[in-house]
Amino acid sequence: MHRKPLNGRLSRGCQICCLAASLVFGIPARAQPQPEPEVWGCLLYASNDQASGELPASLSRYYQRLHENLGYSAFRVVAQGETALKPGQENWLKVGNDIKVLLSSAGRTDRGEYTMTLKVFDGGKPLVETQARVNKGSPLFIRGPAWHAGQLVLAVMVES
Amino acid sequence: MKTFEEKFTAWLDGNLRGEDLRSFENDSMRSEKEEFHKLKNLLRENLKGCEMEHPDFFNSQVMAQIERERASGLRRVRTWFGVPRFAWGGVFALVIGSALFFTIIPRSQMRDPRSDYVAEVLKAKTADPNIKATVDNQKDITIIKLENLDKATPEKAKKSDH
Repeated sequence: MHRKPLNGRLSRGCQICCLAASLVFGIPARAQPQPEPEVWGCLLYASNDQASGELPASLSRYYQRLHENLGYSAFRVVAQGETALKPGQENWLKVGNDIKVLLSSAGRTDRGEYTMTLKVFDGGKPLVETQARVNKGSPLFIRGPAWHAGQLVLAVMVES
Repeated sequence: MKTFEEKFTAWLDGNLRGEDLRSFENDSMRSEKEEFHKLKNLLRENLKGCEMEHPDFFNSQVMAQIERERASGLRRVRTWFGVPRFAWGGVFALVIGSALFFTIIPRSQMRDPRSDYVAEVLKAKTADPNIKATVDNQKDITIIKLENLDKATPEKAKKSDH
Protein backbone atom coordinates (compact mmCIF):
# COMPACT_ATOMS: atom_id res chain seq x y z
CA MET A 1 0.00 0.00 0.00
CA HIS A 2 1.49 3.30 -1.07
CA ARG A 3 0.82 6.57 0.70
CA LYS A 4 2.14 10.04 -0.14
CA PRO A 5 4.91 11.32 2.14
CA LEU A 6 3.74 13.51 5.01
CA ASN A 7 5.51 16.67 3.84
CA GLY A 8 3.93 16.23 0.40
CA ARG A 9 0.45 16.09 1.93
CA LEU A 10 1.25 19.09 4.14
CA SER A 11 2.50 21.18 1.25
CA ARG A 12 -0.62 20.38 -0.75
CA GLY A 13 -2.81 21.38 2.19
CA CYS A 14 -0.84 24.61 2.59
CA GLN A 15 -1.28 25.37 -1.08
CA ILE A 16 -5.06 24.92 -0.79
CA CYS A 17 -5.22 27.16 2.29
CA CYS A 18 -3.08 29.86 0.64
CA LEU A 19 -5.24 29.73 -2.46
CA ALA A 20 -8.42 30.04 -0.42
CA ALA A 21 -7.02 32.89 1.65
CA SER A 22 -5.81 34.79 -1.39
CA LEU A 23 -9.19 34.37 -3.05
CA VAL A 24 -11.15 35.48 -0.02
CA PHE A 25 -8.85 38.37 0.87
CA GLY A 26 -7.96 39.34 -2.66
CA ILE A 27 -11.36 39.51 -4.33
CA PRO A 28 -12.96 42.06 -1.97
CA ALA A 29 -9.78 44.17 -2.01
CA ARG A 30 -9.81 44.24 -5.78
CA ALA A 31 -13.55 44.71 -6.01
CA GLN A 32 -13.52 47.87 -3.88
CA PRO A 33 -11.93 50.79 -5.71
CA GLN A 34 -10.97 53.75 -3.54
CA PRO A 35 -13.35 56.57 -4.47
CA GLU A 36 -12.56 60.17 -3.68
CA PRO A 37 -14.06 61.04 -0.32
CA GLU A 38 -16.86 63.51 -0.08
CA VAL A 39 -16.66 66.39 2.36
CA TRP A 40 -19.89 67.65 3.75
CA GLY A 41 -20.34 71.07 5.28
CA CYS A 42 -23.27 72.16 7.36
CA LEU A 43 -24.02 75.61 8.69
CA LEU A 44 -25.99 75.43 11.89
CA TYR A 45 -27.86 78.05 13.80
CA ALA A 46 -27.38 77.42 17.48
CA SER A 47 -29.82 79.08 19.83
CA ASN A 48 -31.96 78.55 22.87
CA ASP A 49 -35.08 78.97 20.82
CA GLN A 50 -37.60 76.32 21.77
CA ALA A 51 -39.12 76.30 18.29
CA SER A 52 -35.84 75.55 16.60
CA GLY A 53 -35.18 72.40 14.60
CA GLU A 54 -32.95 69.43 15.12
CA LEU A 55 -29.44 68.45 14.22
CA PRO A 56 -29.05 66.36 11.07
CA ALA A 57 -28.76 62.63 11.69
CA SER A 58 -25.02 62.53 11.10
CA LEU A 59 -24.46 65.11 13.85
CA SER A 60 -27.18 64.09 16.27
CA ARG A 61 -24.82 62.12 18.50
CA TYR A 62 -22.83 65.33 19.16
CA TYR A 63 -25.85 67.21 20.50
CA GLN A 64 -24.91 66.83 24.16
CA ARG A 65 -21.29 67.87 23.63
CA LEU A 66 -22.32 70.88 21.53
CA HIS A 67 -24.85 71.86 24.16
CA GLU A 68 -22.20 71.63 26.90
CA ASN A 69 -19.51 73.48 24.96
CA LEU A 70 -21.52 76.19 23.23
CA GLY A 71 -24.30 76.70 25.73
CA TYR A 72 -27.14 76.36 23.22
CA SER A 73 -29.93 73.85 23.41
CA ALA A 74 -31.34 74.03 19.90
CA PHE A 75 -29.62 73.61 16.54
CA ARG A 76 -31.12 74.22 13.14
CA VAL A 77 -29.62 73.57 9.74
CA VAL A 78 -29.25 76.82 7.83
CA ALA A 79 -27.35 75.60 4.82
CA GLN A 80 -25.30 72.67 3.72
CA GLY A 81 -23.06 71.67 0.86
CA GLU A 82 -20.84 68.90 -0.36
CA THR A 83 -17.74 68.51 -2.48
CA ALA A 84 -15.28 65.81 -3.45
CA LEU A 85 -11.91 65.94 -1.77
CA LYS A 86 -9.49 65.46 -4.63
CA PRO A 87 -5.94 65.05 -3.46
CA GLY A 88 -3.47 67.66 -4.66
CA GLN A 89 -6.23 70.02 -5.72
CA GLU A 90 -8.07 72.96 -4.20
CA ASN A 91 -11.62 71.92 -3.48
CA TRP A 92 -14.27 74.53 -2.77
CA LEU A 93 -17.00 73.63 -0.36
CA LYS A 94 -19.84 76.12 -0.61
CA VAL A 95 -22.17 76.29 2.37
CA GLY A 96 -24.94 78.75 1.79
CA ASN A 97 -24.37 81.96 -0.13
CA ASP A 98 -21.53 83.44 1.85
CA ILE A 99 -19.66 80.67 3.61
CA LYS A 100 -17.05 78.90 1.54
CA VAL A 101 -14.35 76.50 2.64
CA LEU A 102 -11.24 75.89 0.59
CA LEU A 103 -10.07 72.34 1.23
CA SER A 104 -6.64 71.00 0.32
CA SER A 105 -5.88 67.41 1.13
CA ALA A 106 -2.34 66.56 2.12
CA GLY A 107 -3.00 62.84 1.90
CA ARG A 108 -3.86 60.12 4.34
CA THR A 109 -2.05 58.76 7.32
CA ASP A 110 -1.34 55.05 7.62
CA ARG A 111 -4.39 54.80 9.88
CA GLY A 112 -6.64 56.16 7.12
CA GLU A 113 -7.04 59.65 8.55
CA TYR A 114 -7.08 62.67 6.27
CA THR A 115 -4.67 65.51 6.78
CA MET A 116 -6.08 68.66 5.23
CA THR A 117 -5.97 72.40 5.23
CA LEU A 118 -9.23 74.30 5.58
CA LYS A 119 -9.59 77.99 4.80
CA VAL A 120 -12.95 79.39 5.80
CA PHE A 121 -14.18 82.44 3.93
CA ASP A 122 -17.13 84.59 4.83
CA GLY A 123 -18.30 86.49 1.79
CA GLY A 124 -14.83 86.42 0.28
CA LYS A 125 -13.15 87.52 3.50
CA PRO A 126 -10.82 84.91 5.03
CA LEU A 127 -11.86 84.05 8.54
CA VAL A 128 -9.62 81.25 9.67
CA GLU A 129 -7.07 78.85 8.21
CA THR A 130 -6.51 75.55 9.92
CA GLN A 131 -4.67 72.30 9.44
CA ALA A 132 -6.47 69.31 10.77
CA ARG A 133 -6.24 65.55 10.90
CA VAL A 134 -9.65 63.94 10.67
CA ASN A 135 -11.08 60.56 9.94
CA LYS A 136 -14.27 59.68 8.17
CA GLY A 137 -17.41 60.54 10.07
CA SER A 138 -15.68 62.88 12.55
CA PRO A 139 -16.96 66.43 12.19
CA LEU A 140 -14.85 69.47 12.96
CA PHE A 141 -16.91 72.31 14.38
CA ILE A 142 -16.14 76.00 13.91
CA ARG A 143 -18.07 78.44 16.02
CA GLY A 144 -18.67 81.52 13.91
CA PRO A 145 -20.33 84.87 14.40
CA ALA A 146 -23.41 85.68 16.40
CA TRP A 147 -26.58 85.59 14.37
CA HIS A 148 -30.08 86.53 15.41
CA ALA A 149 -30.47 85.37 19.01
CA GLY A 150 -27.77 82.73 18.73
CA GLN A 151 -24.66 81.84 16.85
CA LEU A 152 -23.63 80.26 13.56
CA VAL A 153 -21.69 77.01 13.78
CA LEU A 154 -20.01 75.37 10.80
CA ALA A 155 -19.50 71.61 10.80
CA VAL A 156 -17.12 70.08 8.26
CA MET A 157 -16.93 66.30 7.96
CA VAL A 158 -15.40 63.74 5.64
CA GLU A 159 -18.29 61.46 4.93
CA SER A 160 -18.06 57.78 5.74
CA MET B 1 44.51 -6.46 15.09
CA LYS B 2 42.13 -8.25 17.42
CA THR B 3 40.76 -6.49 20.46
CA PHE B 4 40.93 -8.01 23.92
CA GLU B 5 37.26 -8.96 23.77
CA GLU B 6 37.76 -10.82 20.50
CA LYS B 7 40.78 -12.64 21.85
CA PHE B 8 38.98 -13.47 25.08
CA THR B 9 35.99 -14.89 23.21
CA ALA B 10 38.28 -16.91 20.95
CA TRP B 11 40.13 -18.22 24.02
CA LEU B 12 36.90 -19.27 25.73
CA ASP B 13 35.90 -21.11 22.56
CA GLY B 14 39.35 -22.76 22.38
CA ASN B 15 40.24 -21.08 19.10
CA LEU B 16 43.24 -19.03 20.30
CA ARG B 17 46.69 -20.07 19.18
CA GLY B 18 50.36 -19.14 19.58
CA GLU B 19 51.48 -16.04 21.46
CA ASP B 20 47.91 -14.90 22.13
CA LEU B 21 47.09 -18.24 23.77
CA ARG B 22 50.12 -18.05 26.04
CA SER B 23 49.13 -14.56 27.25
CA PHE B 24 45.84 -16.03 28.52
CA GLU B 25 47.30 -19.07 30.19
CA ASN B 26 47.41 -18.20 33.89
CA ASP B 27 45.48 -19.37 36.98
CA SER B 28 43.00 -16.53 37.25
CA MET B 29 42.05 -16.76 33.56
CA ARG B 30 41.72 -20.50 33.79
CA SER B 31 39.30 -20.17 36.71
CA GLU B 32 37.33 -17.62 34.61
CA LYS B 33 37.15 -20.15 31.83
CA GLU B 34 35.91 -22.85 34.14
CA GLU B 35 33.20 -20.56 35.49
CA PHE B 36 32.17 -19.76 31.95
CA HIS B 37 31.90 -23.38 30.96
CA LYS B 38 29.89 -24.20 34.07
CA LEU B 39 27.44 -21.42 33.23
CA LYS B 40 27.26 -22.52 29.64
CA ASN B 41 26.44 -26.10 30.56
CA LEU B 42 23.88 -24.96 33.09
CA LEU B 43 22.07 -22.85 30.50
CA ARG B 44 22.21 -25.64 27.93
CA GLU B 45 20.64 -28.08 30.35
CA ASN B 46 17.85 -25.83 31.58
CA LEU B 47 16.89 -23.70 28.56
CA LYS B 48 15.21 -25.95 26.09
CA GLY B 49 12.93 -24.87 23.28
CA CYS B 50 9.35 -25.82 24.00
CA GLU B 51 7.24 -27.51 21.40
CA MET B 52 4.10 -25.57 20.52
CA GLU B 53 0.84 -27.48 20.52
CA HIS B 54 -1.20 -27.13 17.33
CA PRO B 55 1.35 -25.00 15.43
CA ASP B 56 -0.80 -24.93 12.27
CA PHE B 57 -3.73 -23.45 14.16
CA PHE B 58 -1.46 -20.77 15.68
CA ASN B 59 -0.03 -19.88 12.28
CA SER B 60 -3.48 -19.66 10.73
CA GLN B 61 -4.60 -17.29 13.53
CA VAL B 62 -1.57 -15.05 12.99
CA MET B 63 -2.18 -14.94 9.25
CA ALA B 64 -5.88 -14.16 9.76
CA GLN B 65 -4.96 -11.27 12.05
CA ILE B 66 -2.51 -9.91 9.46
CA GLU B 67 -5.20 -10.09 6.79
CA ARG B 68 -7.66 -8.25 9.01
CA GLU B 69 -5.17 -5.44 9.69
CA ARG B 70 -4.34 -5.13 6.03
CA ALA B 71 -8.02 -4.94 5.08
CA SER B 72 -8.77 -2.29 7.73
CA GLY B 73 -5.74 -0.28 6.52
CA LEU B 74 -7.12 -0.29 2.99
CA ARG B 75 -10.52 0.83 4.22
CA ARG B 76 -8.90 3.71 6.12
CA VAL B 77 -7.18 4.97 3.00
CA ARG B 78 -10.28 4.74 0.85
CA THR B 79 -12.53 6.54 3.37
CA TRP B 80 -13.19 10.12 2.31
CA PHE B 81 -13.54 11.49 5.85
CA GLY B 82 -10.21 10.47 7.28
CA VAL B 83 -8.62 12.22 10.26
CA PRO B 84 -6.15 14.22 8.11
CA ARG B 85 -8.97 15.42 5.92
CA PHE B 86 -10.95 16.49 8.98
CA ALA B 87 -7.90 18.38 10.24
CA TRP B 88 -7.36 20.14 6.92
CA GLY B 89 -11.06 20.82 6.70
CA GLY B 90 -10.90 22.53 10.09
CA VAL B 91 -7.94 24.65 9.05
CA PHE B 92 -9.67 25.57 5.82
CA ALA B 93 -12.88 26.52 7.63
CA LEU B 94 -10.87 28.60 10.09
CA VAL B 95 -9.14 30.48 7.29
CA ILE B 96 -12.41 31.12 5.47
CA GLY B 97 -14.14 32.17 8.69
CA SER B 98 -11.35 34.57 9.64
CA ALA B 99 -11.27 36.03 6.16
CA LEU B 100 -15.01 36.61 6.13
CA PHE B 101 -14.91 38.06 9.64
CA PHE B 102 -12.27 40.63 8.74
CA THR B 103 -13.56 41.52 5.27
CA ILE B 104 -17.34 41.38 5.36
CA ILE B 105 -18.48 42.27 8.87
CA PRO B 106 -18.47 46.07 9.24
CA ARG B 107 -16.65 46.29 12.53
CA SER B 108 -16.83 50.09 12.63
CA GLN B 109 -20.56 49.81 13.25
CA MET B 110 -20.00 47.52 16.22
CA ARG B 111 -17.90 50.08 18.02
CA ASP B 112 -19.10 53.09 19.90
CA PRO B 113 -19.06 55.87 17.28
CA ARG B 114 -17.51 58.28 19.73
CA SER B 115 -14.56 55.99 20.39
CA ASP B 116 -13.14 56.47 16.88
CA TYR B 117 -13.64 60.21 16.71
CA VAL B 118 -10.55 61.87 15.25
CA ALA B 119 -10.63 65.55 14.44
CA GLU B 120 -7.41 67.04 15.64
CA VAL B 121 -6.57 70.63 14.82
CA LEU B 122 -2.85 70.91 14.23
CA LYS B 123 -2.76 74.63 13.53
CA ALA B 124 -5.28 77.45 13.38
CA LYS B 125 -4.69 81.05 12.46
CA THR B 126 -6.87 83.96 11.49
CA ALA B 127 -6.22 86.51 8.77
CA ASP B 128 -7.61 89.33 10.88
CA PRO B 129 -5.49 89.98 13.99
CA ASN B 130 -8.59 91.16 15.82
CA ILE B 131 -10.20 87.77 15.44
CA LYS B 132 -9.03 85.16 17.87
CA ALA B 133 -9.21 81.43 17.15
CA THR B 134 -9.28 79.12 20.15
CA VAL B 135 -9.09 75.40 19.58
CA ASP B 136 -10.99 73.20 21.96
CA ASN B 137 -9.60 69.71 21.29
CA GLN B 138 -11.56 67.20 23.32
CA LYS B 139 -11.73 63.44 23.20
CA ASP B 140 -15.01 63.25 21.31
CA ILE B 141 -15.46 66.74 19.87
CA THR B 142 -13.23 69.45 18.48
CA ILE B 143 -14.44 73.02 18.19
CA ILE B 144 -12.58 76.02 16.80
CA LYS B 145 -14.05 79.01 18.52
CA LEU B 146 -13.72 82.29 16.66
CA GLU B 147 -14.05 85.32 18.83
CA ASN B 148 -14.46 89.04 18.21
CA LEU B 149 -16.36 88.44 14.99
CA ASP B 150 -18.90 90.97 13.85
CA LYS B 151 -22.46 89.89 14.28
CA ALA B 152 -23.75 88.39 11.06
CA THR B 153 -26.55 90.26 9.34
CA PRO B 154 -29.90 88.45 9.32
CA GLU B 155 -29.77 87.79 5.57
CA LYS B 156 -26.17 86.52 5.65
CA ALA B 157 -26.76 82.83 5.87
CA LYS B 158 -29.34 82.05 3.26
CA LYS B 159 -30.41 78.56 2.78
CA SER B 160 -28.98 76.68 -0.20
CA ASP B 161 -29.52 73.07 0.63
CA HIS B 162 -27.88 70.49 -1.57
